[in-house]
Amino acid sequence: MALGLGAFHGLNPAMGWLFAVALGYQEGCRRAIFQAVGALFVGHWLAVGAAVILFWAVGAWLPWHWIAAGAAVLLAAFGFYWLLRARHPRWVGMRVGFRDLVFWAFLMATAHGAGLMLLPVLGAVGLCGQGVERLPLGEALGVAAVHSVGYWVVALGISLFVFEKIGLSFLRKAWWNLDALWGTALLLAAASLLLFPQQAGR
Amino acid sequence: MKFTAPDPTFYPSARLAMEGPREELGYVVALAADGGSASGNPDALAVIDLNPDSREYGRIIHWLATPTIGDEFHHFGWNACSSALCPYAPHPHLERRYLVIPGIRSSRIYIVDTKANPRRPEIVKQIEPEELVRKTGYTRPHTVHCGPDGIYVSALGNEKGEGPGGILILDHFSFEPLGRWEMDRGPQVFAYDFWWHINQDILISSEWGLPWMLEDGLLPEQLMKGAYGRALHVWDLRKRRHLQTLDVGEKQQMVLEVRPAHDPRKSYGFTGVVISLEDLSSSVWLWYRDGENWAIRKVIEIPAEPAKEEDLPPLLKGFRAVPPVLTDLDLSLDDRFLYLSCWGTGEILQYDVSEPMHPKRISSLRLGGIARRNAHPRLPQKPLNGGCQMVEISRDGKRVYLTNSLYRAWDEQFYPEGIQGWMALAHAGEDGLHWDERFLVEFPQTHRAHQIRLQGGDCSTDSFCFP
Repeated sequence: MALGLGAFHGLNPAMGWLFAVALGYQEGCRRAIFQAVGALFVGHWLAVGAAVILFWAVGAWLPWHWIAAGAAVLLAAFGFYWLLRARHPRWVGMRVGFRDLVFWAFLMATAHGAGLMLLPVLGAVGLCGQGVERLPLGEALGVAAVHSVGYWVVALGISLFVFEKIGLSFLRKAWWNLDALWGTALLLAAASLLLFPQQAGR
Repeated sequence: MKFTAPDPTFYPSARLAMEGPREELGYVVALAADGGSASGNPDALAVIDLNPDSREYGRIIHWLATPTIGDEFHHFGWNACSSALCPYAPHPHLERRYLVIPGIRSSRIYIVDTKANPRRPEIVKQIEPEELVRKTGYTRPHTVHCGPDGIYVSALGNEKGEGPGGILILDHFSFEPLGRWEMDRGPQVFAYDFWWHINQDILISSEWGLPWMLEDGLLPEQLMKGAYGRALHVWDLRKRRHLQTLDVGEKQQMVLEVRPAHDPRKSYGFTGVVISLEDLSSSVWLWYRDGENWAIRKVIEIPAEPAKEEDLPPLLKGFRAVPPVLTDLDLSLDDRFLYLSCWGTGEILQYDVSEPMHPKRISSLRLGGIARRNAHPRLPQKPLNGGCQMVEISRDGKRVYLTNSLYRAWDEQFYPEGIQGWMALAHAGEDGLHWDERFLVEFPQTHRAHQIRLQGGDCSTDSFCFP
């Protein structure tokens, strides 16, 4: 499940593969794509990991149903935002180093609620440990890492496929409006947290 | 909004844009010949039929008049373009739908929707001058470019008609003015045109003059002093900071349009200088990356043409020559052909710039002109005035559209009898340029034609993040 969500995140051009393709063309070599996707992986993992740690820490203080409700509200808010009022960042450019890319991926993942989307998988219960055994932080971060591997595989695969095989005209024909799909996924995640907080991710 | 593919007029690269379909409609701004105050005529957006199979080919098929007078339409642009595919802020599901049309005199900005009926566009919003100046500090909006993160608009000055001019940003979605763009403008005061090397985070801006030097006509004493603009400015597009001034010399006056290479890997572009104080020539300059910095050098010079005193307007009588007055240039999407329009002599020049340092002249045509008044093949008996001025190239590079008005207060100085507006089309083949004999749009006496925008984008609207 975590791997699958990671793959879904990797699919979204706004999460980085498009950036990697552009840098590959700009530099004129495949190596640029590997470097870029590597940096994006780190940024994405940090963002998801940060969300996990945040909720794990809050989980020590608050009962699980509060967490589940809070996360659901946040997820729903992000979901509606991406469905109804998508905006884009204004500060970034194209001449980017490793650190810039890590930071960019971190911000994009956070702004899209990518880490939050993982919470139903981890299970609010597992994180907050009311009644059942509390998932150790290391294991929670492991789930985040597995998720990011899914992201890495898909992002790298698409980047290389577009760069090496099919070329740019692909971008004109098949570019789903993932903002809408993304918003819907966030809302589904929110709903699953609200409806099945105990079972989530089990 | 389509969910499965981006707007079909967005192209990842210039190469793919050249393969797109042929344009069928042109949008041309028409400004009231008397400024509107005497006649009460408002400016307008004219829709031109560009489909050669249509019965209305080469005719004005719609006239969208504005509700206000005295705007003086000049340049304009699209709300969104191929830059929406840029990877750092992708928004592929925006639409190329709205024309953003500033009034260079009134500082009012119109938003015109072309989607519901592209042949009969409608005004959907207007930004009033008071709001623009309150939120940005700028007036006299000019060039409009669709950036990946917002709509960039250059502006010539402030509320008092003085400097500095600069660039402001409009929100991509609501068109609200967001504020001025520059964080650190360095020594820059004059503004006019701008564009960018989008993948290199570099913006280039040019210099005309301040509003008080322009709005009552060209001021000869200021020109002779060399007071008009004479430099390009290089900016960090991302940090919004001034990096470098590229001075073309104290004898060169007015640096207007900037045309960077469309391939985002290339680091050069062309700009035109209107007049040299030494010999009235116009010139084209190439800016290029030179190590860590940027450099500029002259690559084309167009000499003035001798003329009889009685053929010249009062402004030029003493010189006994017609200056070329290079006012616009445009670069085809394959970065191969550069077109130069000389508003004084009425000549449109085609250069091969495959080797940007060494442009090769390929062909030229003439229409209008201060001394020659060249006629068009469709009406060979009728001398035309004005001269080739705004130039726009089709995406595939095969058609070059031209109009003949420069700027209302300056039109009268060079063509004192008043400009009769026209729009013409030249086909660009392997053998150079030749006129389309069916295509000569004559504008009504009351209005003059200025910038042209082609449906679905053209060679001076779109920026590409992929090569």
